[in-house]
Amino acid sequence: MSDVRADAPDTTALLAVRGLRTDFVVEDEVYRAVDGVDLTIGPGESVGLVGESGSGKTVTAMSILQLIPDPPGRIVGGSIEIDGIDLVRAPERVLRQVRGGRIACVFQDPLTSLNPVLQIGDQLTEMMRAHQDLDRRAARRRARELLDAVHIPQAERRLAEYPHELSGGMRQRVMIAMALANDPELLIADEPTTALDVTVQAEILDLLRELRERTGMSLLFITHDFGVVAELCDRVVVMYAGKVVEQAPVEKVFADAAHPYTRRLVDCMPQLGEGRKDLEVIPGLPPALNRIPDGCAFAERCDVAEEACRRGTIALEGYGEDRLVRCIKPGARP
Amino acid sequence: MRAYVVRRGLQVIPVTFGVTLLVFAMMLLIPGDPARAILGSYATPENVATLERQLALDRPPHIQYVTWLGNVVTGDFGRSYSLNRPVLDEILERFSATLLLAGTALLITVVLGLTAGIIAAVKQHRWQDRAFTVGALVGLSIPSFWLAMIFIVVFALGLGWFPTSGMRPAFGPSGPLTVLHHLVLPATALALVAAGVIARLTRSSMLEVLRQDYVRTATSKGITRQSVIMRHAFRNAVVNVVPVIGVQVGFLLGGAVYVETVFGWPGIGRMLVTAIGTRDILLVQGGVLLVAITYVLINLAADLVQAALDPRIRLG
Ligand SMILES: Nc1ncnc2c1ncn2[C@@H]1O[C@H](COP(=O)(O)OP(=O)(O)OP(=O)(O)O)[C@@H](O)[C@H]1O
Ligand code: SF4
Ligand SMILES: [Mg+2]
Repeated sequence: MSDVRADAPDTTALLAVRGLRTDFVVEDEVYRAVDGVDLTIGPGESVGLVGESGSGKTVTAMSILQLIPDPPGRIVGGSIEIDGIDLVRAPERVLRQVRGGRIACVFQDPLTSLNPVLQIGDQLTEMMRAHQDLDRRAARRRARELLDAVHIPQAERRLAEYPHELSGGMRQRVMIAMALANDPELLIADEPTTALDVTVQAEILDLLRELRERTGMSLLFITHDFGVVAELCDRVVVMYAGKVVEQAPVEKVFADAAHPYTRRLVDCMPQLGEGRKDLEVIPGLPPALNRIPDGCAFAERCDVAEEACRRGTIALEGYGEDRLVRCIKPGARP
Repeated sequence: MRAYVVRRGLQVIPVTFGVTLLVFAMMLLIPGDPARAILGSYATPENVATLERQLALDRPPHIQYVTWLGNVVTGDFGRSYSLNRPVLDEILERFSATLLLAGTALLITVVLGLTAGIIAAVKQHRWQDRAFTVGALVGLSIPSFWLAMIFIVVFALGLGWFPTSGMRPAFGPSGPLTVLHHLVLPATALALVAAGVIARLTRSSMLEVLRQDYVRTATSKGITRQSVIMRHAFRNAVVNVVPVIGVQVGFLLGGAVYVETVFGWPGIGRMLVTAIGTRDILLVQGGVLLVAITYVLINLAADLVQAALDPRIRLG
């Protein structure tokens, strides 16, 4: 069941995901990776999508552009609207215009995400020529400008190189340049720094911030790292076991997280000045996605759980003026 | 790329050397008096003496080898006693017929194998894929000489669509179409097994590649499904297939022996069968050497094509 939001559909949203459900069927077992997710992104807004590994962040993001491999995956419910077009039901031709045009993606591992046998320049110009009427020379010139824009030195020479000739950070810059090629309204970045060295991570984040300021595009930023969310995002959406459990402006989440899971995630963040001590983790594991229990999926690990938490369906409800929380005791402390 | 070409090209030298050793060993393995065996039982004593001198048969084996190699390198393969003409003339003539047959079979192998493999992978679990699996199983389990005979019975004798045997010169009065008409059955019979091998490999490489992140990236760019499949997936999958195509050329050349015999195709395979029957050793040696070196060179070519397709190989 998808949750029905109390508020009316937000007509100013650039992208509105409603009641999204995505299943994976593996050996006759159904895994509900995404279970009724609602998510809106406004024009120019930057939304952070956080949650532990396996909570459904990537599946949510890939569902938006209909990139879920089928089989084993399939979107079984909900809608994903951009300007009144429902991407879940849109014909291939319409999808193609949105993919890489209005919405572009940057993935986690730039080495495996770039085609190893095609030159950087060809991969860039292909992206442009799929959406714009450009001749080869113009596309080439624009490709060079894009590499300049993401601060890749010697752009002209890079165009003729192959992905394996670049460093990890350079490769991710190429991915970002490619994503920007058609001036997208929304950039989806799925853990774009996880595969990179720590020093390079900061550079890539700086680049994303700079580009967002310059272009005004919206951003859906997926990460494990609340610290990055604090730096880069306006609003945060927290997922747990395929569901959104909290949605709030970034500063409020840090000041006082309403959902016990969010609170624990925030506590896991290394504090400023404490150096890099070993990150505290929340004990226990999320439920198996083919056997999601009744009631709150977090109940087994929650430090304020009670009997009522294990019954029925717990809805995502308004909390304060601008937050949504899926918990019967929002804000409770042990 | 240049460094790779040089490196890979140099490897050909020891391999070719080994091939000549093996072919030369055929002479040592002949029981009895080699010169008499080579020349046949009707040879005059003078002929036998000349040949012995020419091949240094009275000297130790390594001297014999060097002498033989020297002759071969200068194009002197000796004379065929059964045909009474230079071995080189005969093998070149026959080899051109085999090249036409095996080359056509290779074309069929590549086109059919790649196409079927791509379709089966893209339509995994659909009827196209199941039909393919059955077809490949049947194709792979039938030896080409048997297929050749079935073809003759069904398409030549039964339906009368194609001639049962023979070949016409491509540029003679009969024209290329007649040649093609004679080529269809033997080339197809020869190609089907190799096509099955290539198709299965193409299918599995494509399935592997279609799972890769860069295919998802390609889809996320908004290009057509066809571009995703051909430009991104196939372009990567074929890198693994090319060397195996090179190996299949060996099977095509080997299979040509049977298919040429069944179809009466005047190629080097049939020549070898006849030459072995008449114990025309020099002819056998020349033919085997030519085929073996062709195989080595084709595999060199396949590796170079692979390197041209994959920058990670050629740039090291
Ligand atoms: N290709 C697939 N085949 C089968 N199941 C899958 C597949 N992709 C995702 N899933 C299922 O969906 C669940 C959620 O995966 P997802 O990749 O969205 O997690 P995530 O939140 O992005 O985690 P991470 O932080 O590790 O990237 C997985 O635990 C798995 O059960
Ligand atoms: S609903 Fe209950 S178990 Fe779930 S997070 Fe809230 S308090 Fe904890
Ligand atoms: Mg993920």
